[in-house]
Amino acid sequence: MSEIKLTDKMIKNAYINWMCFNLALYQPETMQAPALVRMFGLLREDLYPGDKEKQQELMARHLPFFNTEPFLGCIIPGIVLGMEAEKASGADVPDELITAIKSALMGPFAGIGDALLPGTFIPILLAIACGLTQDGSPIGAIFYMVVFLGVMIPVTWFLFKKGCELGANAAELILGNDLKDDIITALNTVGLIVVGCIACAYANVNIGFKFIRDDVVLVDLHELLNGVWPKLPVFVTAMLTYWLMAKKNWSAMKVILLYLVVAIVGYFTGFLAP
Amino acid sequence: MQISLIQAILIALLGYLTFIHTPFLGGGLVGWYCIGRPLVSALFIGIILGNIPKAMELGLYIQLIFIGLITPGGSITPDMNLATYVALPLGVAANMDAASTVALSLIVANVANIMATPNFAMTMIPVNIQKRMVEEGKLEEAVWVPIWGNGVKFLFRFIPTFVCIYYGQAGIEWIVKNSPQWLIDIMTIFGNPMCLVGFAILLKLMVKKPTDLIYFTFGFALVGALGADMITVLVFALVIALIQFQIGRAAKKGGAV
Repeated sequence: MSEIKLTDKMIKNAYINWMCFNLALYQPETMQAPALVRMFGLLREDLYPGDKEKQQELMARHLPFFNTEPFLGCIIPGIVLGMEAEKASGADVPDELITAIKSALMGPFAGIGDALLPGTFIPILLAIACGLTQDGSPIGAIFYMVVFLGVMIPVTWFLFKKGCELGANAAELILGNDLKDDIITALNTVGLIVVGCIACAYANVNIGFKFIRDDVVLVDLHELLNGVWPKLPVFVTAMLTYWLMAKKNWSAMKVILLYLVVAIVGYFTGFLAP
Repeated sequence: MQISLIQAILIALLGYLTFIHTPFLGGGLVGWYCIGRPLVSALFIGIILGNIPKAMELGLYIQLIFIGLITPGGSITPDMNLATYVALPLGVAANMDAASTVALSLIVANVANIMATPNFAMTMIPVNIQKRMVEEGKLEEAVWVPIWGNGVKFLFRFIPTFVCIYYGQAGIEWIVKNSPQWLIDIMTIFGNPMCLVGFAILLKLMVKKPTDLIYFTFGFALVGALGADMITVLVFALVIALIQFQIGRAAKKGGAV
């Protein structure tokens, strides 16, 4: 058996196909596995030239369940590709080891990936983009596209390639590195401040209650509360919503229904104004 | 304005292409997570309908609701994709206000959930075909299954989106025209604080300890009390984050802060 070296072209082919197809046949049974089958299927001639039986074994190895956060977790298909190339070169890489590495890494990377990408990076970037969107200008949308893709394409390519090169050590490099905790904490802070900013800028609660005598407004509750602290009613509503969802475990739907009830009652009692 | 047949087809097609499971527009990174975000989709829907400012205005508010949307493996979450691609074009066409468009998008997002399970069930068909092909040694055919198999997802995206916008526009226009003022007012009161739900989902994720809420309050105060713009807030946020990062690093090195 001859040495199989992963060329840049092969890695790029695998990367693009993984990035595009990871969820193409997503379903609860094998989740992202069909994409791995495709990814390795495309490289089967490179890994096992002319050996149809080995090629079939290669693809069959990746039929069972696989699921992770597909983008930051793309390091796992990278690692597995690195291992498969070693195996194809004749190194003693048991099938069980490949399965074990996949199973061991997919959980942690699903957790980290979801927390970092849709849980931190995307909302922060979107919050900034929303803040830039004023009077129907598309600048926020363009900003988001440029920054998001400008960051994520190099990052995912780096992770995938590092996975191929370092094998399982790559995972340790990332999971075991305490730098990421400090980065996440710092990003979180940016996120919290930015979310506070857009909550203030975009949410509105208008109190309609006025105490009027002889055509003179004696108390305008809205003015009064906003005089205490600008947008105080919005802040209180934000905290209340957070408390209900985080501490009382209300679902978003339940909170929305509460909003609806409050809006109806508030309108007919005149306590809330449009 | 009227959404033409071509416009409805283009919008429904874009809705499919930016669905979470569609591979053909650069996969999830370019599709779902980039162009598929309501704020970005709004730009493209605005271009198709020839009204970018209105689309951006409505897209902004739909985006704020779904800003904290996370779709962990296998769980069924509100259908942001269908909500955006149905509520936004209809909102632009019927010249709806942001609050009503948001209310419509919420209804669509939750009703559309009924499609998730049949969608998954039907996807099992190509997955099982691929499995059988590998076992029978039809390797080249197995490689191609994720491409044609995605047709299942196309059916569950393109058709409902197209039907809702093309055949739903008359109904929405009628509703908008015939709504009494009190209903419009209630919708506005209802929609005004709605984005706070989206932010609460985010806060739930980001707030690790109660003192973290002070950062939220800080951002809030910068805008509310000082009238700062987005960029200024971002600069402040980055300064604080940098200091925090450096303190964190110093503490781990065991040195004095």
